[in-house]
Amino acid sequence: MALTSSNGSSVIDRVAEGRLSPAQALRWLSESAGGKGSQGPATPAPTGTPASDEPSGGRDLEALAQVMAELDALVGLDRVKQAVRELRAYVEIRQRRAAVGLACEPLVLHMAFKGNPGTGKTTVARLVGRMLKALGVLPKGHTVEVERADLVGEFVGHTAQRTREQIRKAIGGVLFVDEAYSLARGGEKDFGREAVDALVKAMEDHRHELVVIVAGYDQEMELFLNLNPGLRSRIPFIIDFPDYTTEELLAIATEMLRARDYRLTPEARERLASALLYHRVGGWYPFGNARLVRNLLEAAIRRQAVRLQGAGAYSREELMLLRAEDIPLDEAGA
Amino acid sequence: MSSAPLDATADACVVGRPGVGKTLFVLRFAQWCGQRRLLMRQEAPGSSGGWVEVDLATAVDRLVGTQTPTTRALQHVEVPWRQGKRTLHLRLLDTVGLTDTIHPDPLLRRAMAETLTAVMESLVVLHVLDGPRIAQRPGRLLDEDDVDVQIGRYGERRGRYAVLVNKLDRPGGRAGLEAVRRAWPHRIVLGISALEGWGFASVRRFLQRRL
Repeated sequence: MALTSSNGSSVIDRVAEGRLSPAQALRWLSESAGGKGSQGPATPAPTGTPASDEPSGGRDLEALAQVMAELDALVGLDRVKQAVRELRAYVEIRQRRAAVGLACEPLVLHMAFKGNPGTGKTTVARLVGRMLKALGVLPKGHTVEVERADLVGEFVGHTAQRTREQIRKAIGGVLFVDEAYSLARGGEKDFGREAVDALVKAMEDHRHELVVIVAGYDQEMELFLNLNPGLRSRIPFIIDFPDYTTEELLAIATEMLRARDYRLTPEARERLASALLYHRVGGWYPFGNARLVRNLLEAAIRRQAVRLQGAGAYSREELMLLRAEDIPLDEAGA
Repeated sequence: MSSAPLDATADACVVGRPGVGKTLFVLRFAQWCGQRRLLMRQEAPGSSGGWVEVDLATAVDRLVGTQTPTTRALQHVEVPWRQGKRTLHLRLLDTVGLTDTIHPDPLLRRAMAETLTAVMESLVVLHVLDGPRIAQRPGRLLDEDDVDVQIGRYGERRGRYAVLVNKLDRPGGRAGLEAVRRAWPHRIVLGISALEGWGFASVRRFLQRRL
């Protein structure tokens, strides 16, 4: 796709440059065997007057503002938010450049989300889908979440078919492949490879109408990205999801409880903090992050119910309050 | 090269001179196939554009015009297409009118270049001609510098190609259709009226055999 020398540019480029009429170009194309010119539309930037200053496509500013507000409302995730804002800026500037006829590379937005479970990957993927719709890049912006079991089949040929089916559902939006590295396990004969190949093909064929987001643990994702040489080169955006700090996990807990009309006593809050620390220091693997918080709280709510029933205390205040003894130290509720 | 996959999208590219009725054909044909609202993608030259959802009635008002060229960027319309047991997403590509000569507007030239790329990459090419205008000067169909002659030659060579002679509802439309059939006896030539919906069934049959 050289855009330098005049004799190196293809017939198509010469039409864009105004050195060949469409009729002449077609004649040349049908005379050259196979009628196939060099790939890729013209890239040199004609310095013409801008057609209009509005970016192409249907942008929905209201929806965009809504999505960005939801993103900002997420606890922590500062680097991730920054990355999503960069993505938005990239798309918008590209649209403005295209509107004035400047050279633009094709827009490829496949992404890899690396991080432990419960670090917000799925939540952010959904927001990214909606954001890309609001920007007019994707027609629907919905998110289809799949994992190995949804893609891999039971016999030869079954996998490609199942994978294509999921891809078809996702077209127009985001295909979110959770724990993508599990497609790589099982070695050479595993059907996971077939799924990866089908994914790579779809990433190319449907790049205008589908964004594929592969997600998983940091190190395993590296292995996964190295699995198929086409994979890494087709995934320009890699976003790291760091583990939440204990303070952030406590903020998440407060948020979850507020939504359910519960409150923590200061002692309960302290005990929750030590439960979270216990998991972190204990090196439990996989460390559950926000999911761990949810499980701990659900166990606490069950324990509170048993305690209240035993004590026969049903005041509004008591019904809302989670005390230190309600907080379990691990997810099993012990 | 495009091959016909088992399920997926297939592109049918609609090409021709400016003002022959490509956009109206694409919209009306999609409507005739049962689409009421449609997702459209406008490709600003050089970009991958953006998607907008429009309803067909508004689309016709907004996108079809008398001053040429009305369509200044590539547009897609998707039509779900039942083919036996499977559903195929037929993507009709509405393109920018091609001219005999080099156009002075660099953005339009760029869009024409993209149209040519689309013609090369599409599974099927539908070449739209203006019937009444052909009837006025049938000699153009033999003129080497005429863009329609060149599209026709390219289409014949590549295959999966049909000529749609439009505006049969206007005076001279039928005569134009006859002239095209005489000049290009070995090509598939169908008469249509995008305005009235005439001939859509034959277009559909043609597509069904080629997809």
